[in-house]
Amino acid sequence: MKGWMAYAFMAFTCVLHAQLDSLTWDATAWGQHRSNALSHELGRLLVRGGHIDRSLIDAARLAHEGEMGAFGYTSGVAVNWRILGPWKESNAHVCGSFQFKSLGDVRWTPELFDLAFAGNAGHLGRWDVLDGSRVRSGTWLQAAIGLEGANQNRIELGLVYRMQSTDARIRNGHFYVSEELDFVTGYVRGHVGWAEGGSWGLATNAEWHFLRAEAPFAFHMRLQNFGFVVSPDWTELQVDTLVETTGLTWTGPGLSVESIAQSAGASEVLSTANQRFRFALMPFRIDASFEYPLGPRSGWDVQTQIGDWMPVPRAVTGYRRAIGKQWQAGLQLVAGGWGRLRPAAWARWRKPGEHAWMLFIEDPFGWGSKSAYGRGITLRYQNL
Amino acid sequence: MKRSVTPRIQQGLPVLLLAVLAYGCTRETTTWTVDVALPLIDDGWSWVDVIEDASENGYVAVEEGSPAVLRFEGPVADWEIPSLTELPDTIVSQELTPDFTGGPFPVPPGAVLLDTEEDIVFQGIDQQFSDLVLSAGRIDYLVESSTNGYVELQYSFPSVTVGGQPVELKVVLPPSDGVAFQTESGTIDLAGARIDLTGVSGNEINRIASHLIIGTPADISDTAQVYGTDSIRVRMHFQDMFVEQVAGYFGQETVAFEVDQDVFQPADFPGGFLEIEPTRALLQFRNTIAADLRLQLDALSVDGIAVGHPVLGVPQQIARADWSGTSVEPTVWEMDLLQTAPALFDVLGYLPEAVSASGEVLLNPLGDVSGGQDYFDTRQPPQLYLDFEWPLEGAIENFRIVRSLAIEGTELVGFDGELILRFTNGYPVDWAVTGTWDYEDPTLDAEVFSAVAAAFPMNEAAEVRIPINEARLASPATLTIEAAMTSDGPVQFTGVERVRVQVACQGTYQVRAR
Repeated sequence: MKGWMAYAFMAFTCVLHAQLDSLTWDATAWGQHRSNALSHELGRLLVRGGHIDRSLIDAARLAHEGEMGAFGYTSGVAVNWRILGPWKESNAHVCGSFQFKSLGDVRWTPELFDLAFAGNAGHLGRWDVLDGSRVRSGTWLQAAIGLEGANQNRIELGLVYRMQSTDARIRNGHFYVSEELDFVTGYVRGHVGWAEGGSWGLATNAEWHFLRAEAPFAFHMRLQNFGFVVSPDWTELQVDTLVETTGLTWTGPGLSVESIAQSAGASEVLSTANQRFRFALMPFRIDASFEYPLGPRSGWDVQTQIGDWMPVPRAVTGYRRAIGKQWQAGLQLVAGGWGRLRPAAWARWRKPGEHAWMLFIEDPFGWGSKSAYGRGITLRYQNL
Repeated sequence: MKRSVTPRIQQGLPVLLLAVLAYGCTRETTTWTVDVALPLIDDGWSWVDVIEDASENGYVAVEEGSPAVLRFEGPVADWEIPSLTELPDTIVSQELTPDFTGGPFPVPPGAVLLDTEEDIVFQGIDQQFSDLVLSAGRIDYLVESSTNGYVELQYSFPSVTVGGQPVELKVVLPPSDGVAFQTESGTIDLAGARIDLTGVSGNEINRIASHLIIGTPADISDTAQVYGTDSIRVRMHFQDMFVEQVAGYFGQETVAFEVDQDVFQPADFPGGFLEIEPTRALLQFRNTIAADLRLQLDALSVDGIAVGHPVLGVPQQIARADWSGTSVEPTVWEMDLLQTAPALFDVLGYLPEAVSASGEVLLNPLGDVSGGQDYFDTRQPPQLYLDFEWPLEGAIENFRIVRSLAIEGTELVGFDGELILRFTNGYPVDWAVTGTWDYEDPTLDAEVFSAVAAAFPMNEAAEVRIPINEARLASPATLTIEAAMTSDGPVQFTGVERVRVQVACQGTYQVRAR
């Protein structure tokens, strides 16, 4: 079996090597995580364990600035390719892509964060709203094929295999304890769901580029992962429970110390639903970017990205400059997405007519800093 | 040298990778501290809560009003008549011996050696029972045979049915070796058995009809060789028979009447009312037997205080109960406890804790006036019954309520805080509250607290704070709360009064997440 696989791999690489001569392609690997409230140190303690000092919690509470807290991550590898030869005597070229992507999004109300990490003692007499708190994640593979026309405009249709998917959400929820400690109410309506196995779907990727020799600027639009998946076996735990009490009685009907002691726990308020063929939209993303040359060797660019489960659109603006014949670099400011304003920098080196490498670092000061709120890196290889 | 380094690197690489992976997977417990504040308990003591456990026997309630009325109605004692509820053990023996000498004589399969119907007489019963249902009982049987051949014994009791089926014993004994008897023994359960005691003729009393057949089994092709010295014996032992229902004539029997019974439990309804002035206090005797009784109470005492009453020492004729309907209609004889001398409640000053009465009861004082139609269901015995009504008003001194609660230990790592107890008084009298939190852990001192909950209408609740921590929560404990009230002069209660007990918790807790 191993021998057979080795031969198959060798054959594949030979064919690939032969085919690469007739392709242009680029490969990108990226990884980033970002939060508007959780510092690296707090995140590390949550993931790796250890004692979380109250000062870290207080810093995170301040960082919320009254808004919903958010944490997100995305990582993956993407390969785009285009056959050099035209397709059926047209100007179009057959193109395609392969993508492996993992995406996660967590958001919470500041009150939920307080309740979980600081307790409710500081909230007496206040209504804590939990609406919209959510955790979701997904990991998928996509193989797509399509056509590329002039100006690298392209459209692809891809087959998606989603390997993992979870979704937990509090649609409505509140918690209240009176200042006199004589009344408590809590309500949760929400669900926790997950796919028991893989899911299949279809997705479209498209790019449109406005590039005119007569126009002093360029404009690019890009759509990724616009499609759907169908999960053949989706399990969901649902809760819709209101508790309102001035305190429990020792015994008797309804909520009492005795009934809680004898209860079966959370299973009494959770209902389980098993769905066959659950339909869901893919977390698509739209990128729009505008480039304006400030001089023969410098320029200004603006990008906006929406989707990818980001709570707010991600906006990027920056200055770029060519350095020598082979280098190009830029400095950027990034806002939105899962975090607040942060810097970014990139550099590109190319060997004309052969290939180019590009490295993008988001929040360069976040690398090695415990107090930063995220970091990101993107490495791209482009076969020219 | 170079050759040896490369394999080492190759061997070391997986180890290094594993180490990196292991480090990456190692995860400590994540901990952080949270400040929690939650209401836990909101309970109260209304009059109903105060008195609900005051008596194990009867129905206790408080009717709201001005003043409220405390009502107690229920039995304080059952009267037992052993002669009607227990049957003496009875042994029945049968022995079959051939009326010849010598032998052997062949007996073919299917032959009947004995076929007899006769009554089994229950000895030692003075009453004339015609029918009964047993709550418990059994027949231990022993069958023996010295015959050199298979013997079949069939002993049926058509007048004894369990679940509608007649009780029947069927035994097949294998051939004896001529030296030792072949035996078989066993037990027949008679719980729930209905027994017709009118015998084979249907006109007798205290007799069970029986039918005994002894022979050789027809389905075993064996010819028994019977000698004149052979014998077949059967022994039936009726024992431990307890009656649930019985009918017949119960005879003229005098049964001692001795009652010594708790009424109100002092632990749950302590005294404190300086004046108890009931508006009704009837001590009743409820005859549930379908037989006439003559009751003579000779002495009556309440909490050890002997009281006199005009009916004491005077025989009271109590007619038979009516069982003609679906339920019994008891015949009630009653004496008014408000007519005792000395006045009972003036002497007591509190609710009676125990009643003692002695005397005797004569069954069927006029003889068999029903023609053998007496009936008794032991599930509804004759009872001494108290019907009591007391307006809740008067002066109070140290009226106490004591409640205790067993608290299991709870593991709350790192908890440090306090329990907040609040007492809100809805009674028109101050409550003095004393509490003790007694830990099973001998290294922990008991927490003792006290507070005064001001009379209604009051401005604020009485509040007590008890420090608690991880160690105190981990230890099983008993929380005892005692509340006492004393009034300045007579007070009238409406029945809606309530002491509200609220418990809240406040403190710091270390959350641990793996």
